[in-house]
Amino acid sequence: MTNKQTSLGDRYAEIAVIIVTIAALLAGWFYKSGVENASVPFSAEGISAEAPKGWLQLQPASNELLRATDLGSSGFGTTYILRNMPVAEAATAPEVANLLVLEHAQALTAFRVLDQREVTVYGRNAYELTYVFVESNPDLTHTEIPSVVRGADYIFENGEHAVIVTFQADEKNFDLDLSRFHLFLESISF
Amino acid sequence: MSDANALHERKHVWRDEILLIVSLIVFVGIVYTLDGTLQPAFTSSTFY
Amino acid sequence: MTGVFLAIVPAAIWLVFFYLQDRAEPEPKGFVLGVFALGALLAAGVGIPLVNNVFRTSHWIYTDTLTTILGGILVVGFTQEFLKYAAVRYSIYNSGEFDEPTDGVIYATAAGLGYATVLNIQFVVSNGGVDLGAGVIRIAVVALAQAAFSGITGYFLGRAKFESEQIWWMPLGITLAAIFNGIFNWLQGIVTQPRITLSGTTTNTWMGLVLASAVALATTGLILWLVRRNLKSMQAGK
Repeated sequence: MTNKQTSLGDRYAEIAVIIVTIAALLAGWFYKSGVENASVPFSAEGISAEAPKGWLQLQPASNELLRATDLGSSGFGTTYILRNMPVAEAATAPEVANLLVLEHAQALTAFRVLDQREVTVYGRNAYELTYVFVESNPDLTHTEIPSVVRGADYIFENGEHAVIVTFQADEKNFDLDLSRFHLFLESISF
Repeated sequence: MSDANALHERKHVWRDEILLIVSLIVFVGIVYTLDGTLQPAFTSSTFY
Repeated sequence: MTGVFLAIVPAAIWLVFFYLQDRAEPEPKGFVLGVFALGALLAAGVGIPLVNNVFRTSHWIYTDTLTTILGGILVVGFTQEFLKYAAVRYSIYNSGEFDEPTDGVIYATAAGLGYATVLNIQFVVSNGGVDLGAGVIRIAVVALAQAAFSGITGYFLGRAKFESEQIWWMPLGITLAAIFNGIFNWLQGIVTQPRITLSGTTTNTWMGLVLASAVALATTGLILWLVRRNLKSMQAGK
């Protein structure tokens, strides 16, 4: 059998394979975005939001309205928390942030505040508190390295309540998961 | 490669194929048995 | 090192098995090993980072059955099959040693086994050696499956070089291989995805393994039949 070098037909076939592969990967990317951004409507105490579809919704504690965790995350499961916290009518967002800092410092291991500042979130004034902590399995027999978790709390003043939206993710996933959280943040109305 | 060498039929190819499959089954069997009896715990790497 | 050993032995056995299929004119061993190494390099350098870090498949692919199948075909299947195709197309394809249609299958299966070796090393390392009993069966099946799926691409590649096929021929080959790959990954997913029940978390290890093995064996059977048909037609032609 004779050997032949790259023919025009080979070249076209090669280009066709590349085009089909790119088309498949693009379709896969759009499908991935569709699945990741799929949501289910949520409403409680006059606050509504679009919660991520397929995430594990845990039983909310105290003033929490929603606690959703992505079980597919590696390390610490990316978590969104929505709270409606009663506060004094005169309380400012920085004061609520100080309260949250105390709360986190008591509940979380190696908790450190990274930054706090006033921000505008989709046209609404808010106060942003970013922090870091360590999440470790309480079972001492588990031989796994604890996860470093980054968190961000967004505090919105709402009369006698403060609406607090929390995003917590493994340090490795924080930036990657941020755009999905922004969709959630944008969907919140009260 | 010249045509003189081309299309020479390999001998004992069926025997070789069966031997290969049997050796794979034996390998799987050995690992399966060792894992069941020793239940080893591995680390990603070992340093001295 | 245990992971490397467990991944290499089944891949080496399947490599020799597929190498023996070229009964007419054996390929140079160095070339076959080179394509095997190229498949492994492309898996470690491009395939696994693309699937795990860019597409982050573990986050979304197990949402539901349709997503597992579609994601498995469009993302995992096409990435893997294109890279295995590239390992042959941009190395040995234009060489004088690629001188019969069957060579496409021989070199593509070598690339597939290189790819599978890296996947299997990653599997053992990420599992920390847990349940190697079922793991070693999975390793042998994944190696066979990866070889067989790229064998499909290799068959189309061999025909494309020597029989001046239509422009859609090669994309069809890659697509078919990606579809088989996606279905295999879905079945294999039954193995790795835990099911949460009231009594705790369980995994249906054997069911998925048996189904995935059936796909791998059926594809291998198809490839061997195609290779032997090629061989017979060559002998008849001579």
